[in-house]
Amino acid sequence: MDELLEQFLIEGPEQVQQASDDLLALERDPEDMPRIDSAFRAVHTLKGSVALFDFAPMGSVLHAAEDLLGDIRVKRLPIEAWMVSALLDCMSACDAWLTSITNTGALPRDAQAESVVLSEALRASARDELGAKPATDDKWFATLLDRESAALVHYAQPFTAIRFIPKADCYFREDPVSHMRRIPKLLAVQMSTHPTAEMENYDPYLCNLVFVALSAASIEDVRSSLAGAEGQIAVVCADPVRTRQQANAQGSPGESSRSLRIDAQRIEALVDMLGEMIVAKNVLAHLAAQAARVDTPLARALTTNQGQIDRLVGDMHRALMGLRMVPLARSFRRFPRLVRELSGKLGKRVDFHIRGEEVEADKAVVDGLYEPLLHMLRNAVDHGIEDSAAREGAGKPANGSITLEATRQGDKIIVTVEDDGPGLDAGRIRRAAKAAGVDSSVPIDELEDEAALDLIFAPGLTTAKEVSEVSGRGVGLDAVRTAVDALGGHIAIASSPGRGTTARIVLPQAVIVTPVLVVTVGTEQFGIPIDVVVETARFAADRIASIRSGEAFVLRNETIPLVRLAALLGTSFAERGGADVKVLIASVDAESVGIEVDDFGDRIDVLLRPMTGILASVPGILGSALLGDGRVLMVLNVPELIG
Amino acid sequence: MTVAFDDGIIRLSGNCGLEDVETLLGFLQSQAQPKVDLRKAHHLHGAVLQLLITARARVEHPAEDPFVRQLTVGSAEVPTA
Repeated sequence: MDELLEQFLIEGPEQVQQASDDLLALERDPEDMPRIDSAFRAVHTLKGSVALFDFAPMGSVLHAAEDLLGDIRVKRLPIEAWMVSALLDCMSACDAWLTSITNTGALPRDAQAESVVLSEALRASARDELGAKPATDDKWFATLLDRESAALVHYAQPFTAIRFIPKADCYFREDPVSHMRRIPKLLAVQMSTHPTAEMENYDPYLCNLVFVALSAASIEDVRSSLAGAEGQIAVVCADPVRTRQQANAQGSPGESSRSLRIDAQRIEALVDMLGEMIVAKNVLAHLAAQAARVDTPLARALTTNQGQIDRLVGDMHRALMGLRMVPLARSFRRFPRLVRELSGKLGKRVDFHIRGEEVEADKAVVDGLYEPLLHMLRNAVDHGIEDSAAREGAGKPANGSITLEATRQGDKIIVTVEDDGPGLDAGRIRRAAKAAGVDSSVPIDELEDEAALDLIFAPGLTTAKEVSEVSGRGVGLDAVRTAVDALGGHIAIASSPGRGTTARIVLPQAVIVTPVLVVTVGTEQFGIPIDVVVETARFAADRIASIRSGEAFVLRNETIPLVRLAALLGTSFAERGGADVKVLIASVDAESVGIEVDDFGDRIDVLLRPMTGILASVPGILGSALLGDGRVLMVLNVPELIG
Repeated sequence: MTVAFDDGIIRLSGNCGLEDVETLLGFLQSQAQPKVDLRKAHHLHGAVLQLLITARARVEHPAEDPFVRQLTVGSAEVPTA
């Protein structure tokens, strides 16, 4: 891929994310000027990057967004709810388009049409705010402040500035002066005519007044006092203290980062090299053992040295794994916009809270959590939260509440998704589970309610009465469990009727990645931890000598006992043919042992999970690992197998 | 009577509405340098204020009503931009 485009696809989503974060913050506090600046910068930069490529529809939407943000920024207009919506819609579209570019190299086919609609919406919101008369005097606010500066010099409270340009034919319907009179806590008011009329041919019924005023009331109070005059007024909130601070403050609300961006693949490459280093280090232990037979002082020095290298490799492994630790915010920060969009689509009113996004975990865990959490949040909005009427009927606040929270407990992180909806109905889940023919070790009717809730993670189960666009197709919660399991975690659900549902995901903070060598025996594959592997060898079968009941071979003047992995595992094995034998030389208690396998596979990093339940007592098995394709790989405990 | 002409001064009183505009226009046009007394004016309609500004009427006696006073003192020379 073109290097420029590659860079764009890394940075583009970050800029979209930054702008979305800022817009959502502005929705809560429309007067947060640094956020407007930050959103403007993000959109501006993104627009600049898009211009380098042939993505015209995206460019024109961003252009409209930049114009709107620029207007808000220069005129210090408060950002309005409909502007935030229009801008967020624009960011969602850009996000989708970036995904499309990543996957297909091009914008989706409907991008042009969507772009026109989005750009229109952005421009419409700009027109609404500035009123029917285009601003002939953009500097009115600055002029007003300047003129009233003497009165405001000791004024520390935020205040609201108002400009009112009544429509020319307004006198027959209303008196604009009465409108001005209704503004609460008026500090100053001025009136002028524009354009200036002359007494000759004067039409006394044609309004050409312009009012400007300052009020100590909040922007909302001022707006509501001027109800009926929308489209003819511009209102600005000004905070003298904040204005002063802003003049002093430099830079963005984002942290000025001293960090260095490193492509994750480079770290993976380092982890791979470390894997090789572990193998090389193991050889050293083996050499030290050999040397002990020849030269004791040399062997002692080698052993000391090998111990040091061992420690260093261990430290390096931890440090490398530390590089992969990223804050959960990486996944979490994408959710507010999605929840907002989703609740809008479903007509639900949801307050979404995020806590603990600063908690760090391995990149694989953080990235891997995104899909399952998205699924849980979709469910929470769709099924977890009732509509406002039902909520009020149940004596709850009209707005539903969904909380996503992460905490760290020892080396685990705990992520919960909590809603205050109606909760889960164990009876309905039981019925649905029976209808879907879900397997259960205990008959479904005999399950305690708590255990019955767990059935929602069974494949194919759905309790949704109708399939909605958002969720309810009966695929999902089992996928959530699979995804969490693959991360080495566990998900459980708890619910109290009428009060809500909590999903709790427990995950390892650091993924314990074990490098293993995959070997084949018969039709099966097994994993052997790399740290017991000294080397692999391939030689003619006639080099194997029978020694009493066992076998051995000579490698570099050392006689090494040979065992067949199939025999260790108790499976049948065929006589050797004429082909070379493949032997893995393992180090067990500083002794070399040759383990004959049918074939060597790849060296892979797996997430090793200890065996549980009845399998825990099976000797010779270290644990299991879920492979990328869903197969389970048994990882062998070689010393235990041989011992 | 909310608009009266008396002794060379146009006196506005009470609540001056749109219906007073024609009368006021007549008085203002009859004077080369019209003067107004706003002391008794409680409220002036926008059309009335606009007319006073356009005719460059001199406020001889400002209004007692603080809002009307603010609007009429110095408003005529307020720049628009």
